[in-house]
Amino acid sequence: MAQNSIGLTPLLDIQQVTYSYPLQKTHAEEGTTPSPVLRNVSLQIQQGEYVALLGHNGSGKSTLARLCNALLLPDAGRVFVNGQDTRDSTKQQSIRHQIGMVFQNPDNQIIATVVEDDVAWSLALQGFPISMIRERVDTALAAVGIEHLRHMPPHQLSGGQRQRLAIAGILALRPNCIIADEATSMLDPFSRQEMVTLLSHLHQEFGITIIHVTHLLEEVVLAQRVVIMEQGQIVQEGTPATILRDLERLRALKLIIPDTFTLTARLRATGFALSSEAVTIDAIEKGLVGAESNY
Amino acid sequence: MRLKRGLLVQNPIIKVEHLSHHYEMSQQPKKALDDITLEIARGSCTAIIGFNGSGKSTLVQHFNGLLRPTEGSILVDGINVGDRRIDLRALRQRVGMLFQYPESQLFEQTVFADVAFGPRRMHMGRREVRTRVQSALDSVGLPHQHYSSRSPFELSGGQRRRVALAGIIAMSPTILILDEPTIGLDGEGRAEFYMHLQRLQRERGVTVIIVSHDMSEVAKLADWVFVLYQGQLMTQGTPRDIFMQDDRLREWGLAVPPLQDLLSHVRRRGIPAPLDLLTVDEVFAYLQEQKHFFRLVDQQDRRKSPEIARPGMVSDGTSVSSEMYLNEQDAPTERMIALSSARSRSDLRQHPYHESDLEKTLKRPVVHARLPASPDDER
Repeated sequence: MAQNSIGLTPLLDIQQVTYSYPLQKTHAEEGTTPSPVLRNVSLQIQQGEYVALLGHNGSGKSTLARLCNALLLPDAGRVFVNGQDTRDSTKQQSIRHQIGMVFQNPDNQIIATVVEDDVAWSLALQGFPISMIRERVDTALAAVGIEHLRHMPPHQLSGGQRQRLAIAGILALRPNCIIADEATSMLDPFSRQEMVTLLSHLHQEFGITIIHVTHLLEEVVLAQRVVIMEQGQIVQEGTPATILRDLERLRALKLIIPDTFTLTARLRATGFALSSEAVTIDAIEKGLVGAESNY
Repeated sequence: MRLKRGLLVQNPIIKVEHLSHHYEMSQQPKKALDDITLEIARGSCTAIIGFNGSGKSTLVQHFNGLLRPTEGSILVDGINVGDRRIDLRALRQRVGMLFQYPESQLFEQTVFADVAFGPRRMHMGRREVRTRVQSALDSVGLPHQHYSSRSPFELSGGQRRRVALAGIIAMSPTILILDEPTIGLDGEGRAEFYMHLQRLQRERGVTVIIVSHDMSEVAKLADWVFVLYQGQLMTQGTPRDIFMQDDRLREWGLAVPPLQDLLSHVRRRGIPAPLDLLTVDEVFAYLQEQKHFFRLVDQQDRRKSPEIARPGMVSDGTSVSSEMYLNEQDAPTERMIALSSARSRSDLRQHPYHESDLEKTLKRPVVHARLPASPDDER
């Protein structure tokens, strides 16, 4: 198993992974579409990192995310979670407890008819004592800010609240890592923003490793590292500020460039003292006007 | 607050008067729409925006007779939707509706068969069906020679969505209703969708109605916007008029587009950025013109001549090349910050841009799709 430079085992160690979906494999046998979804991808993610996995539709980012908790297994190469090989079927349960996943549609992972029951569900399945279940459910609901909704039926919650509920269900299992796989794409802009803030909060407050899979550039600005995928390969890595320096490249990668980034790039080129680190609206404002109040 | 009367539109294709709708599911019927009066101009691109549950979907479902009014009336291209005797098929042929994620409704083996589904149901002759399907495919940027015989399932998400759009175009609707048309599409898919949509509007004179949460999209496409909140029509106007009302939009649970958000941050810092800047070009031009309000890389000029912010004077034309910037990447020096914070609020107030010029900017002629809204229309 690979060790990184400071000698720690990474939480996630993806080694030269290749993957094709079963249908594609049939095609490949017929010699029609031989191109796999992932081609020889390697990536290490440390415990406590906040990584954004960015790419347009069909770039392979969701497939890569699904390989991380043994939902899919690599055709070639290996994926290690805390040193455990995802292909080892005896380890898969433990791997999935360490790495929780939130999907696009929260309704696909909400089971119970009352909010708190839903959070308790997987704990009860594992036979935790009732006092412990209660304590963990309380903490998880508080962490995502929906404790006041605990007695509600999930279908009466808004989309954003249901997505929080899905996250609470995962938090109750005390995972090392949460993967949000396009978890904002069905939400309205406000709830979307709140979801990004929540992920960042979970990262800072609880030290949970966050992997945020998205095709929206504005959602990667709070991440520590952005990994960009294109045609099944990692094509670029860096901080949000470094990847945002080359907007033309991002456009070529079929990403949507928010107007604010187009504007700041043009301002920078014409003498405005805007740091390239200024990627959030607040930071751009400070960059334009100055950090201190004018009053 | 409610609009007492609709704005006059010269040749409305949709005319809604005092429309209310109650869903009868619970014991206390909920008013999903509450006394809506509005008109939609023929050939326009109109956006209907509002927070979840504001009634926008309920409203557009009246436009093709999926719902009937509880109270009030709707006239769609001359057809009275409230009338029980009307031919719903004829109405739905005129009003095409593209639901969210329409590509999930594709089911045929080939692109051609999928697009032909509607026309065939209309009992058209085979030749007529073929002509319509081919022209619909061409008009959404999927040349029929290449795409007709392919399976919809081997296309990209953006292409599949355009197949679904072609299926509606093939019915030759006069009105096209799109619910979150580009949600989930990537940058390329989105740009292509916009391009073909605008062409349809231009070349076929289709009236486009968009229901969207994506304010950048509304700012880009729409020439008229209706804002709904809790079943009521709160305001209407051009995107420029609407996105100026930053605080009210927030009250109604709506976000302003990111550029407008940035500008309102800047205004809160005491810089009188005009309210009606809409596009990147406009904001950029404003910031260039008013450079003296902002922190610049080359601060030398300003230190030597603090009166640079004199009325009417365009501040330092000496632009700094981008190479120079790249070299000193990130460092706004202490001095720059000190300089910028030294400008007091009173300086800004004395600056004429704050008053007269601001008003001038606000009165800058704007291309309205119809008669502009006047504040008297609201009470």
